[in-house]
Amino acid sequence: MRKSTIALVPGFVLAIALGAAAQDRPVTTNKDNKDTLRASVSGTVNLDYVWRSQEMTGFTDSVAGAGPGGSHAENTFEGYLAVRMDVDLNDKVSAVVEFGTKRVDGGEINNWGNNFANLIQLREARVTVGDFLTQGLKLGVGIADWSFDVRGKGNSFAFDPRHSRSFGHNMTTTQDTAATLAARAGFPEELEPVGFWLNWTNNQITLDLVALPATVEGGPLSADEAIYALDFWYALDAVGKGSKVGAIFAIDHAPAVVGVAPVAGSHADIFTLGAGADVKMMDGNLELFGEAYFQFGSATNVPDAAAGLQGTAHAKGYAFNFGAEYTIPNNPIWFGASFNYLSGDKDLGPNKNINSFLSYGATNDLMILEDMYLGFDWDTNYWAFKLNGGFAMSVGSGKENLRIDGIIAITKTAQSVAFATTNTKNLGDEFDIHARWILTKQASLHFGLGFLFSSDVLKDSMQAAAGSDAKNHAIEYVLGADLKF
Amino acid sequence: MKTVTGPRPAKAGALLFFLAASASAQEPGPVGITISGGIEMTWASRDRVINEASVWTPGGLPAGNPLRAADRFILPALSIRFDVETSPVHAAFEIGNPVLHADSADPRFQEDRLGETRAIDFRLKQAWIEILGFLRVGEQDFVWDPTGLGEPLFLAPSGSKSPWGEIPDSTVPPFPASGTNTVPQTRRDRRYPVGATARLDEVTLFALLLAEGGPPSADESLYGGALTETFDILRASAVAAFMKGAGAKQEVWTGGVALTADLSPFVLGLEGYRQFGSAGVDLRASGSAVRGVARYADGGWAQAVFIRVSGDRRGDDRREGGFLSYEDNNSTLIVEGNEFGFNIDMNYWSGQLSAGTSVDWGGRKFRPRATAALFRFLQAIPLPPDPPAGVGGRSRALGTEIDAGLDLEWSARLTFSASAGVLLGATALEGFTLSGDNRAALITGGFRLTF
Repeated sequence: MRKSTIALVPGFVLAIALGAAAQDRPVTTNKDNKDTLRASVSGTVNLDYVWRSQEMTGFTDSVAGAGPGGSHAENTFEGYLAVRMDVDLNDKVSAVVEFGTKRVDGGEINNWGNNFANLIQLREARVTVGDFLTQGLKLGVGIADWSFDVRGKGNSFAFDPRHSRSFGHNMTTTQDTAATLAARAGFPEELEPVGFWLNWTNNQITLDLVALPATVEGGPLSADEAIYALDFWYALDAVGKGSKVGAIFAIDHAPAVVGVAPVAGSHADIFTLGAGADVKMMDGNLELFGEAYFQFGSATNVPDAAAGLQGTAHAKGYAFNFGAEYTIPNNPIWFGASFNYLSGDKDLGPNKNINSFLSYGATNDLMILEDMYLGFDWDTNYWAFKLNGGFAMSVGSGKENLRIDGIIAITKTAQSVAFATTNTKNLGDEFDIHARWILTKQASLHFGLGFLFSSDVLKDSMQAAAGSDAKNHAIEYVLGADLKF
Repeated sequence: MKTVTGPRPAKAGALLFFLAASASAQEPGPVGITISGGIEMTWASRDRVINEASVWTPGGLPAGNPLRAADRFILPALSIRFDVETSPVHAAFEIGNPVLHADSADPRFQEDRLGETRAIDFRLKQAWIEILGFLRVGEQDFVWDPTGLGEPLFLAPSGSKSPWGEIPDSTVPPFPASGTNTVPQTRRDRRYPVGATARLDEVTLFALLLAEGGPPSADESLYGGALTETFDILRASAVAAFMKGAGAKQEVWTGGVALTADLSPFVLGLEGYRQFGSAGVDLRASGSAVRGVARYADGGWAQAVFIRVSGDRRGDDRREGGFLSYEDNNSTLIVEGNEFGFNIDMNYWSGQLSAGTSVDWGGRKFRPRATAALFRFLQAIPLPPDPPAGVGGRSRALGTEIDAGLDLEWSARLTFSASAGVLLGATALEGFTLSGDNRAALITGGFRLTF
């Protein structure tokens, strides 16, 4: 299981104490709760100043207005605060509660600087029981932070519901249209998948059995979105430390979703079979990774492009991703390349096939095209060839504490996007640069700059929505700070 | 907690968190986390005149309107603040319920009251990171109070409503019968500034977003700098600020100076501000404000204050004479108070006499205080050109307010308070109450616990 994105480094032991000696004593939350072994507090503050050009705000959640016709270039402050408590109890029971603000919620970006300050909400809540029934088996109940993340870098290709929107968001039997960009860019969401899961670890093998019947609570069972998954990982430390190979079988029960609202009467049971490997060689300096997924199953009453409903359709999506990254030995310089493909639908009218790959993907390599928090979150029907590289420098007394990296990507849609008079696959090419200055282990500053160009999908989508002043390029930059404690 | 511009919160009595012993040798030294906060609950009894007149509807509200009734409620103010210190970074965040501008979207009447069917929301009040001890970035309280009265006259956006909401009118229904800025505005509101401030010795620089409007042209923002220099007993301060509203051509410059002479036990202070620029399309800004203070403090204290804040002469000319500010001046409970009172902040002058003392009795400290204040609008309200429908005539008489209060300092962290205020002879209110009332009364009582 992937650890939460909220770092626990370093953990802070709660000690109502005036000296270090107090840390040697068992800590109790109060004198009546003697079963509390340890309570630690950690948290995160993330704040970004984000500037998006008008070509972007027309499709992302613009403050000024919806659609390119009513939007302007916008500068906003965005981010979140999280305070997390990890409590260890007797009998290998532990609990996590995290509250704070949300960066995105319900399809909206929660920007800062309004007289209604951002609401404090529940972010995480779960209980885990270690050595449940047998040694090495862990039971978890609550909001799950489970993901299937081959590289373990927090940008899962297909399964990270905690950092993704609804599985049914792209559920259609027709090709992408002029409305697709706004539909994908305008509904950022972090789901709160609720249920239980079992994790079993024994030497090189890790197994997860996940049942999250309330991934999205829709009322009646038929309107709920649910995930049931079984995955395993096998550690290949003999090949290289940190190497692993794994597979997943998942069942997603979900209604089709338009915006944030499920489509009445729609209902799908989509099966996903996938596998992946991450192999580290040459003392970890060379990393090879790859993963592939195939979908089958069926859905009823999937909406078509004309907003009607149709009969049973069959899932036929697939996706794969592979690449390599090489770090020069004893030098903080790295470069890599990758290719990812997510199938799309080519049908002009509704038919019996859902060809787009449906997922809980959290890919965020590209600021504008892929990132859910900053960009368009275009998450199916495309392929991308990416070249990336970077280096680290030592600034001040720090060691390799300034990391600068860049990425350039050529992207196309897998199937054409249909506009009134044209069809295009030109999703655009993107060039991003990022810099992160690590001030301390807890605090860092970062900067990001993204250019999207040659995007006919953007231009034609603007043309369709605004009728004029359409452009095929967009710019975005971010200046921000992070604190973890 | 009202401000973070001064010293960091006291750590005595706070919960201290210590770094776990697992830190490796390569990690930096221990990180200190301080948790502080406050619990404040205030019972308020606000008479029907304050409620009805707060809407400033000429002629008053119709019979049967619920706002014509007296109001009694308990207003909580809860906050929890975390300070994280790891050299060279200091960060803090604070969560709590919004006392001003509650969730009702109507900033005139507090809706976050205890005992309602809906639980009170907590919201993010501050979240900032301070680097190298001088550059603070994020959502932060910001107060500039050159005379140290604790009642800032110009720059305290984290305790103030937006001045732009007064041009041309309240945006909150029910609208006054008039269509222009011809009546005062009561909006118990505050900003949550986000941006950057820097403090380098005597110099303070600030660039703050005060209302997100999307494109920069639609944002409400505040930029500027302040300088404070001390010459023996004299402390001189100057400020230059640029205020930008969300509307077209709302770009106002403000220059201000303040002088404070410390002749202990006497302190004399004087501050003045003048505004230039454009307050809107074809609307020239020309507001001004001045305040003089003479204070004697030696055990007991006595204080005399004169304040004059300019107002607009007419609602339809090309000049905005009102002083546009992010003030947080609550010297008096009813007229100036922004929690329970009218929050009058322009178009008035006032002479105020205050006194108080501290008495030890039974091992506790009792701090009685009293204020007598004469208020007068500079321009009679409602301003021209609107016909005063339902109003017998225009008036400048804002009345005389007498406040009295008592603080009981139970311990260093717990204080009980009780206050009462009465406004007499406020002829100007007669035009905004159905019964033609010219008196108002307010009683508050409560406690404040800090940790």
